[in-house]
Amino acid sequence: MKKIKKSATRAIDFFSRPIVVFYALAWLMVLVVVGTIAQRYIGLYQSQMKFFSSFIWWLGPVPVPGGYPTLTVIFIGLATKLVFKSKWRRENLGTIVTHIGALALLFGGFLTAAFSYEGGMVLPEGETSGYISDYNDVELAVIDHSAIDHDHVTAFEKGWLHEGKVLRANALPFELEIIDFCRNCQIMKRSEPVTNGEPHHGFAANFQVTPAPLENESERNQAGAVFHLKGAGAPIDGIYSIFENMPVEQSVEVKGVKYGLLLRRAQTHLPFKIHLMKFSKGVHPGTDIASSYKSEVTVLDSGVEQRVTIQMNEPLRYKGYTLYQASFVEGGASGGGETSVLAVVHNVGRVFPYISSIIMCIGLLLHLLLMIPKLIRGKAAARATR
Amino acid sequence: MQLVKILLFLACFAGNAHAVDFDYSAFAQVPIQNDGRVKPLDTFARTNLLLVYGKRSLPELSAMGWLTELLFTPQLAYQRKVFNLPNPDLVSLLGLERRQGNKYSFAELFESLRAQNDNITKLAQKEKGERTPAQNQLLELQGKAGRYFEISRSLIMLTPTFGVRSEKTAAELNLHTGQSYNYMELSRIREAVRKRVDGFHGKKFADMSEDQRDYAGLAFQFQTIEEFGIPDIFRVVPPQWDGQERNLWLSPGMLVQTGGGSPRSAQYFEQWRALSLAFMSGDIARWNKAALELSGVAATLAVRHVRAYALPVEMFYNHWELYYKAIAFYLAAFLCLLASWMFWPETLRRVGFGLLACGVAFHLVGVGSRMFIMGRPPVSTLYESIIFVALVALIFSLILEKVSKNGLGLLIGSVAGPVLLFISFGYADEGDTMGMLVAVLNTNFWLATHVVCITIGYGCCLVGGVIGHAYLVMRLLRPNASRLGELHKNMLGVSMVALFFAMFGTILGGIWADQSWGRFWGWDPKENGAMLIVLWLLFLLHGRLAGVIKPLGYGVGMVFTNVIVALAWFGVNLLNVGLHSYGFTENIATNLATFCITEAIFALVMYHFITIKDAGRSAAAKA
Repeated sequence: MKKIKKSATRAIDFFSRPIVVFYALAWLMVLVVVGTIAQRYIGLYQSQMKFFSSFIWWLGPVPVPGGYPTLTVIFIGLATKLVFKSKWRRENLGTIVTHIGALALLFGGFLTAAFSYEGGMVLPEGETSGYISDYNDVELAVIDHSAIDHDHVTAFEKGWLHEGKVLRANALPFELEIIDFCRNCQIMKRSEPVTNGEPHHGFAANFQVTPAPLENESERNQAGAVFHLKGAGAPIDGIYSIFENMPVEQSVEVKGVKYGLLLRRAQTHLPFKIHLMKFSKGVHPGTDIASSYKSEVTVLDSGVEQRVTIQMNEPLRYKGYTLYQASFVEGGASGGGETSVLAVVHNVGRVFPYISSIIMCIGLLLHLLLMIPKLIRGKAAARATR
Repeated sequence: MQLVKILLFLACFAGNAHAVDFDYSAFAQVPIQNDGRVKPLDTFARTNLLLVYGKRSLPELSAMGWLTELLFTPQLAYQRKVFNLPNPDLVSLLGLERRQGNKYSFAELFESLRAQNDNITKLAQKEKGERTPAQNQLLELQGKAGRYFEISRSLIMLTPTFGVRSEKTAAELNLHTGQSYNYMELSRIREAVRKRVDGFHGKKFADMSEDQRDYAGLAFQFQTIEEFGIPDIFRVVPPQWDGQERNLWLSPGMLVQTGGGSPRSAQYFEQWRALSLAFMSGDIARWNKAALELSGVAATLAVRHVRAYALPVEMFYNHWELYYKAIAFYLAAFLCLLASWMFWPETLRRVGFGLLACGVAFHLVGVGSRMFIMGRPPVSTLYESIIFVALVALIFSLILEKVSKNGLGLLIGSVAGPVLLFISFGYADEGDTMGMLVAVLNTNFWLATHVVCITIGYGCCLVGGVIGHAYLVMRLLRPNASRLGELHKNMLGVSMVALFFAMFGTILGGIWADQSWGRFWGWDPKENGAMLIVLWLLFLLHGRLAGVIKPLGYGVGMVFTNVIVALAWFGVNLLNVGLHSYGFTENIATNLATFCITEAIFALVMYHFITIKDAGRSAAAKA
């Protein structure tokens, strides 16, 4: 017990020294500079994953801390200093309040990193959608089209998509063994169809899916998978390959039921639906410079309909989700209408920047107010000595 | 070839105008809608002259004089050497002869550009990075020449270039010989002329009868006007009818084409015609009268579409070139400061303070006018950010000087002001500096809070940076403990204030991002740049508190603050350009690198010598 207490005291002593925060700040600056320059070469998403949203990264053969541990050290340093080592005096009040604000900001960052999720909703005029697609993660979906009024979907997420994994589900009369999965792939025509070994079906018979380097813009990556379908019996069993946005869906018919197999951006369903009535784009008169983007939508939530306008800088907040006007596709709708792209975010930590900036503002003002008498006294003293 | 014909044809109608002698002040106030906003013709003229010539006036002619000539007597304007081609590679690419001053006329360029037509089409399909600088400039030049040509044709429908010589034709068409008509007046007889000309199609000009020649001439005029399409750049006609697209102004050509005229616009065109005739006749008194009338009619037509006083304020802003005057005052203050170090220290310091304050007044009026004209907070573009940062630094230095009375504020202000304003001129070359904003920036609330906050942060950082320089120089040359202590305190104070603004600016930026697209922080280069400044200041302050950084180190750190601000401000923009860097940005990259390296060398060399000197002194003290 004593030992634990002793080591805790030592840890607190270690972390509460200003020098810890000082060096952590220096390292954070290195990360920021490297991570910013790297964006030019590997794009924003990859750079963020490597340097900021990471525990370690490799500098040549040496592992060095990424953004998470660096920010954690700063947080612990500030927190231990604040709780155990602060001199709770009047003249320190401003500094203490400011640091509480900084801690709140870091804590909010942690909540956001750990629990928030976001995605895009592509919505042509006149259509309705109730789900968002992830910007980066993909899923392998098996869709049972047999029911008339709905589809039965079995989706396997990112963690399952690795070489050697076997995908099974009670609802499916077959299993899929992943032979190859690539986040970005290249599709090449085979010089001649495969004839020996396991039978190659559909697209796999004539085309080859091979890994390609990741694109700088994450959205441009095209995932691909090669798998072995088993348990459906001949002639269905064999090798299949699929990729994102296939022009023709790969499908198999097992025991009279038709299943679609596809790779797509991971979908998250929302507790409500959005119907797009009209999308409009405003321009400054006589130019092509956009002055506004606007989506007029109806929120459909278990029988309740609510008309809302979502536009640039004016998002819709509904049940913990925030829907933003993100982009649009000209003439994307089947009827020739426009297509609006909404960004949907669910962020647990979103109030923290607001709270912390208010706290820090109060803290700095307090500090300033408490300093003024000192400054004036300093001036008076200086005058007296003159 | 067609154009040469037009030129020759139009030259017959050339009057004896001398663009130089006219008074353009009334004409310059006529409103025009261009690049998304309503501005006085004066701005339109300056912007377009800047585009082709590289300056806002010609040696012999004001921008308005140039525009007037181009509008009313294009055939003369085409001969004026206004295209500035400083790159000899481009000149040889165009097959032109190099000449002193690098100025060429539109008539000279036209044939060369025409010959390059196929090349230009192919070049336009390539990526920017794949073209040589001269090829990029060729494409730009083509755009500029196209714009120039379009402006020159703006009033072609109002310019009386039609006429008949034979009495017979005149009687048939109900015209008068010896009188000139414009396109708008004659558009009613267009069909009749066409039918008549079809009747003797293929006949040689020499074999034609006099009336046939008249018809051929008229047909040729119609054709030349219609051939290049309806010019739509010169939008001087405000919306007249409620049904018309809101806020969209029309050019004379567009109005004729859409048939959206009204009795009032007809009267307005009549004024334009009168002005055109006055100009061509060279009668200055007549011109002045016509110009006054025109601007009066224009003002009443536009009254619902222009904010009151916005146009006169813009004219004032254009005319006074306030930032040049501010620079002059700042430099004079700098000279006073230099002199004050040699003689009459107190008097000269006070004079310098007065001069600096005058400069700030001009600067302030400049920024204020822009805000009034655009109805927008002070900073929305990179250009405006430089002007505003300069203003912040100047106001800060005035306060500092008022309080400390030791010349430090004068030094900061008179150095930072001119340097920043000169840099800003480099960003004003792209034309009108008061452009419209894309959708996401189109919000006054965030422009007023986040952007202003962060630019004030930049300004304070630069002030701190200059103090850092002063600290290092003084410590090396005239170490005086009390003065140095004062400077050190100043540095700490300024960096606190800078931290306050930079930090809140950055957090407000995050909140804007959260409001606009749903994430507080995305590690985007601009965000990282702002954060780097905050981290750097936190690092310095905490290092100072922890005792790791000593006053000397803090001085060096403040000099590096300049480097970090420059990188966050300009550097990240270069990063966005990616691999396709070229001409303009290449220049910025070189300048930026030079600046950063110079600052770094300065700081390190000073540090080195100061440590040697300190070591020597402590050794001497021991001995």
